[in-house]
Amino acid sequence: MTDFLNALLSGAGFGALYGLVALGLVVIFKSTGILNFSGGALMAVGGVVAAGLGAQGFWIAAGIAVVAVAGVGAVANLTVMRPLLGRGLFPGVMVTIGLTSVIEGSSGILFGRQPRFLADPIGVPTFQLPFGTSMSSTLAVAFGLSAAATALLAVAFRRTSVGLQLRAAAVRPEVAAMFGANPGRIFTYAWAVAGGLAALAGALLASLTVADISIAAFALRAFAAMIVGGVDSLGGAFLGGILVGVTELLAGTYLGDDFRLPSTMVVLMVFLMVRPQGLFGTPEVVRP
Amino acid sequence: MRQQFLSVRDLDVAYASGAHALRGVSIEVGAGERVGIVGANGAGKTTVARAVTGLSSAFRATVRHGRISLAGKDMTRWPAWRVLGAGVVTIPEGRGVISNMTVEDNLRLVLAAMPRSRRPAVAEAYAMYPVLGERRRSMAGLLSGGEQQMLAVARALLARPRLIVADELSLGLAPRIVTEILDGLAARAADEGTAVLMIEQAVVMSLRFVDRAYVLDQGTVVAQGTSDELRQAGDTTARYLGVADLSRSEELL
Amino acid sequence: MTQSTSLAPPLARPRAAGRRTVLAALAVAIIAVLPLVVSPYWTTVATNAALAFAIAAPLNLLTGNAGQFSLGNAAFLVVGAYTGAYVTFTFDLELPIAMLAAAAAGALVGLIVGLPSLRLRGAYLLMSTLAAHYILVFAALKFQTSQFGAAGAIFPPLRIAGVDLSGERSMYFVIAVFAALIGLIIANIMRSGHGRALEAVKARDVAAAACGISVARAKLWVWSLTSAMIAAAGVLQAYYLGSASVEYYTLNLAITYVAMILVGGLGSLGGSLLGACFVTLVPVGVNHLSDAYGGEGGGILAYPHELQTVIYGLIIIAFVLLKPDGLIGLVRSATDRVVRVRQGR
Ligand SMILES: Nc1ncnc2c1ncn2[C@@H]1O[C@H](COP(=O)(O)OP(=O)(O)OP(=O)(O)O)[C@@H](O)[C@H]1O
Ligand SMILES: [Mg+2]
Repeated sequence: MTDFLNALLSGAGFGALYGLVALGLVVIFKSTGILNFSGGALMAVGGVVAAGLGAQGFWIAAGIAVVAVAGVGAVANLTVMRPLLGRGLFPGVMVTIGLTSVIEGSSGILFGRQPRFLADPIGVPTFQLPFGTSMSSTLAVAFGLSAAATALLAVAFRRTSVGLQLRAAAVRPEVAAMFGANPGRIFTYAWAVAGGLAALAGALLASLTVADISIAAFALRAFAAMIVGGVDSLGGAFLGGILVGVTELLAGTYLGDDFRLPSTMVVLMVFLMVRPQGLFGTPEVVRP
Repeated sequence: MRQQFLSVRDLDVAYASGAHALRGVSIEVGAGERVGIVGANGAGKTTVARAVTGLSSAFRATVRHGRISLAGKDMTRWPAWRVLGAGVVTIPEGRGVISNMTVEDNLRLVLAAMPRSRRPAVAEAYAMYPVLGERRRSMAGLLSGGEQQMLAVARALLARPRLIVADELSLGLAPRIVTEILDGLAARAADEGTAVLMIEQAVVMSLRFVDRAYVLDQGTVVAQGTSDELRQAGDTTARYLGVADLSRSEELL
Repeated sequence: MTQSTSLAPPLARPRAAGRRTVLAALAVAIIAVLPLVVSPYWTTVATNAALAFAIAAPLNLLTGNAGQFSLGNAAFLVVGAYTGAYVTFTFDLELPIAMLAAAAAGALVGLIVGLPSLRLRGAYLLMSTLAAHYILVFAALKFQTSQFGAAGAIFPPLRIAGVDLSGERSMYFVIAVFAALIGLIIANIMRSGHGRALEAVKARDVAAAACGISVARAKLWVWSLTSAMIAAAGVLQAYYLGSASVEYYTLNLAITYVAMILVGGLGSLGGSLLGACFVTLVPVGVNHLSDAYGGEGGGILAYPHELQTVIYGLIIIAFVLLKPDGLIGLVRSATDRVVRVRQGR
């Protein structure tokens, strides 16, 4: 019973991290139709940058990493992503894969290869909870931040000008352009948001484990989170992340650690076959 | 002679599919003037509207040659958002209402592109068409055709345009509603000196509203003149428009 | 997929068949003579390129011609390698039989991985191949632990009919012959009615509902066939590497082959060859640079691995943005120019 509850709690925490990355994937896919494979690299480089500034404490280090990687996202859009609009799936996937390579290689050259560590966001390492359960404080913070980021982003999409234009561009790009949305500009915001969210996840992961460019692979679960939640739903990305994280931890607890990643991929496959629009997505938002 | 506002010279546009939609079209619209483009299906009217509003590339069309200028400034290859910034707004064919966004969000979309200091209040649109205010929170796709067209008109006017390009405004609407919308448009346009480029198949109705018109056929301008001149032109023009006799035709209105 | 890969040359080519025979003869001659004239190092490079081609070419048929974007190819390699290993170790069979068994397993697994393509398309289909990759590699891991131990399958030196073929040069010939065979099969498919069926799959891959029986059959057929070829190549690859262990079969490996067909040219057999050579040569080139200039404190050249990663990424980006029809596009426009000049403008 305690194992089960612990798996739920940690799963929700890890899931919130996947949700953060998935949120960025959704923002980009929804508005530009590009399936972004560089979410993991953005996340990892965020972790590396934050850990490099570890002496400043978690929050300042994470804040700087978020801003820096948001900048990386914005630059990526302005340079290589913008010419791809409307060119379909393959070019977008390949360029984001190329981007992943460039980011990972540059991170090694700029920051070295040694793994780094980052302090916990708050002083207590774990929270003791009822029924003998406990939760890592970093995972609890991750959960809170991810929920907050989802809510904030949802409000921004409703209220702000860029949010409104991004929503319009997602469904009727030509109408959005007709009424003044500058795709180059609004998609730069989308990429910056995706970069910042990924970097936040990276900083949290760095304080949970180590910061090293190889943590990029963690973000593969974000694809599962994105599909489970529904590719065009922000809240779906968050909840999808939780579902994937909980599945992963339950599989890890009861089947063995090597079942963790495969179990998330089974969830992904099951959703694709049974409910491709995910829990909260609109059917047929897929672009060819 | 009015001051020139929009000037299209020798415009040649082809779609990626191969359709050569416009062949050397020239059109002028003076400041505050109401000008029509009429022509049969597939004549190229919508293609002109797209080219003028910077939307060619969005529809995989390219301007092969020719020049579009606004108050003397070349804007042939401007993107749509820049054209809008220069004061040209469109009421697109099919209305261009985003059906899964609320009425209010549809209206706010056009405000989003304007500097905060110059943004009018959404309430202006509701004052013009009260029905929009009543249904501000419902999805725009749930409005009736006429209400959607009102939304498209109100949205265009919120942009404080100097030129409105209206494409098939009358399509699918009851004559009374068309008259209502056109009267509203005319009043506002007159107040603010807004020019209107009105693209229509409903020739007689269109000629009533505009000062001058161009007749487009298979991508070229085959006739032009004031509304009266075109009404008198008789057979030749009427044939291009698929109307038996222009001066007596009762179609639509 | 938006790349248009028009196969029709802008100018008529008389005696095209004759020229093709000459080219083929030339290719055979080059392949046969190569290891005799170059150093063992370059023989190794050539072996790697030939192996890469044998994997990239079927993938190109699937992705470039039939429009099925897949990241499943590393998984098919491991399916092949482990089927081959199992057959070899358990029944003591020779390489050709092991490869046939691997192809059969690959065909079956490819059919299953291809099934979602009847319902899904675009990003969703790609995600399903991603999931399939991890699930298959995990299954391979379990198989590896139970059959071969934690280190994976160790392959013995290659012998066929009692002849030792494990030397670098003989390995080269075995792999080159296999690659040529794959190339021949694919060239024939592309020229036959099957090729047209594949283009139909690509063109009509609009919605599941619109997907008629014949398109569905062609789809599954191409998934199955290409997976069989990749799995067979997986056996050779494992023999060549000396062992097969799941750590080798990563998503990045799968991506490498996609990068090859992108760089070479989607939907073109010649493109697969050029792409395989090019992508194989990138690390070779960078290592040379770094050996030559990267000594003490040689700046970024002190990081050959990272530099390779960056360059590899830049190459992918550059080809998508600047040369979407790949190296074969460059070759085509160059030969067209030559032909035009020879015909007097
Ligand atoms: N998006 C497009 N892609 C390819 N060809 C197009 C496209 N839009 C229009 N065309 C072609 O361009 C030509 C002109 O079309 P256009 O839409 O401008 O005509 P129109 O005068 O507006 O007709 P209608 O009165 O029916 O709206 C037609 O031959 C049409 O088939
Ligand atoms: Mg039209």
